[in-house]
Amino acid sequence: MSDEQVQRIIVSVDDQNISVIQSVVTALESAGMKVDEVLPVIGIVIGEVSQSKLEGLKTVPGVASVEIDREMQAI
Amino acid sequence: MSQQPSFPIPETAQADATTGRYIITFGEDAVTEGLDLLSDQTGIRGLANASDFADSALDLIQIEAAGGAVFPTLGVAVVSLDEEAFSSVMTSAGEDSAILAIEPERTFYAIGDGLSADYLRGYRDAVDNLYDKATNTEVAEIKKPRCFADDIESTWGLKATKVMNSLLTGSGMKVAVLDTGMDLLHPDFAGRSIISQSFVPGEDVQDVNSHGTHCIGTACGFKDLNGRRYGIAYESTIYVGKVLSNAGSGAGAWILAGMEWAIANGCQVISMSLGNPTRTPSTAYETVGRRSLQNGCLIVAAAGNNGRTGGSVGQPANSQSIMAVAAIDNCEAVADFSAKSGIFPGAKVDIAAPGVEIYSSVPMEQGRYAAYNGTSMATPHVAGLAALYAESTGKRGAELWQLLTSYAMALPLPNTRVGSGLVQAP
Repeated sequence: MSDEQVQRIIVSVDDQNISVIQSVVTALESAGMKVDEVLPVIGIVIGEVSQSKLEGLKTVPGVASVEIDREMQAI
Repeated sequence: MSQQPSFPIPETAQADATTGRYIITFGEDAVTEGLDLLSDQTGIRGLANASDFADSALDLIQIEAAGGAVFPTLGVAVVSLDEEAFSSVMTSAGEDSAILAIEPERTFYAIGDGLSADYLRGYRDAVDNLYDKATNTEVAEIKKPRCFADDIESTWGLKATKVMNSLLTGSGMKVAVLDTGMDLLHPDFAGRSIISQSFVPGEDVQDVNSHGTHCIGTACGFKDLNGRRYGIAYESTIYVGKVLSNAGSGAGAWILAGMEWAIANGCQVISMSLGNPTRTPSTAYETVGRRSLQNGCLIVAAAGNNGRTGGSVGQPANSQSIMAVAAIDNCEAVADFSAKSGIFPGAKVDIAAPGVEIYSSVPMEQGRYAAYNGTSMATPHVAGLAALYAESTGKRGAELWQLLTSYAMALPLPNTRVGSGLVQAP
């Protein structure tokens, strides 16, 4: 059950690959990520992945980090 | 603009100039014991004693002749010591000794304008020290805080940050406020250049919460219907990015999309009065913050309001490349809710701004104006001021950050609570 849980994730693209972000997106999709949004200026890719494939995304070339999307509040 | 100080410090003076003598502080009621110890260590005895003189007025020539003097009421002595004697006294000084401390006697100057904060602090501390020793039990609070108040002219916050002395307006600058949106129909903003976008699925920019309208008022507003000024960069173009729902919360995805939009549209400042209590910084926000600075955009975020329960700066303010703002009240005390610096490098509180009882705009449906508390209220003060500095100097990104912190007014408070101090207008 937990392997199938879908996580909303924030992927940071590294500095070397920010200019070719679309190729990183393609690679992320091949690795199982469902990409919802690409933010090319800041180098962020947003979407979802099943828990079992999450760690695998971190090894995709051009990926600096994969984090769970955390909520924030007005403070 | 460039005036000469009325009492300039002599050219030859240095901040830590000393006379060659030493001030010895004795323990409570331990003057006699301390003098015995001094004489054991150094052979010095026969110091001039203030109580031997009429009205305790020491003839200062006598100090030279006797090699020093004792001020029994203050519990201190001033002595000439050679290096060896100084070392022996140093080693016998301590909190359990009759000699509490020994320090070089410094030269002080009458003060006028244009002195550095360090000089004034040193002078003040020395006077406070002597005062504390000279008076007995209940030492009244001798450091009177400056207190400000809202009046018909402006909010207290704009006085404390010296906005009311500034002629700058934020003209030509683009300030993004990523929050709960804005009341786009608020009369105080009629005629303003406003670009807005919602990043909250299913909700439009119109602010039902009030938090966004309030923050925008502080950063970019102007005056209320009675002429009381409450906003800083009143000629800036306002980029309203709704990244928090009307319920006041937002997904990282929405917030990052708002940041992308603000940076892509050339905003010089992004104000983010939002966060979570997670102490560990987020790589995504750190990366975005860094790229933002490289793109000439300074991101300012609220430190957090969990200071009462020992909270430290949360995300995204705890990113090294995002400026973390603490809140102070109208008497320049840090708000007890204001989060403290955390252990991660980016989790330092960087600067402080007014954040208690802050009067600003709210949606018409909620009464047009309200006074709120929070590091959320402090943040747009810094954002609005960043716009003024950007307008005035042409500086951007990391250089703009430097301007804000270097011109902040130092406060007598730990920098884990207030960073570089109270932000000031250019």
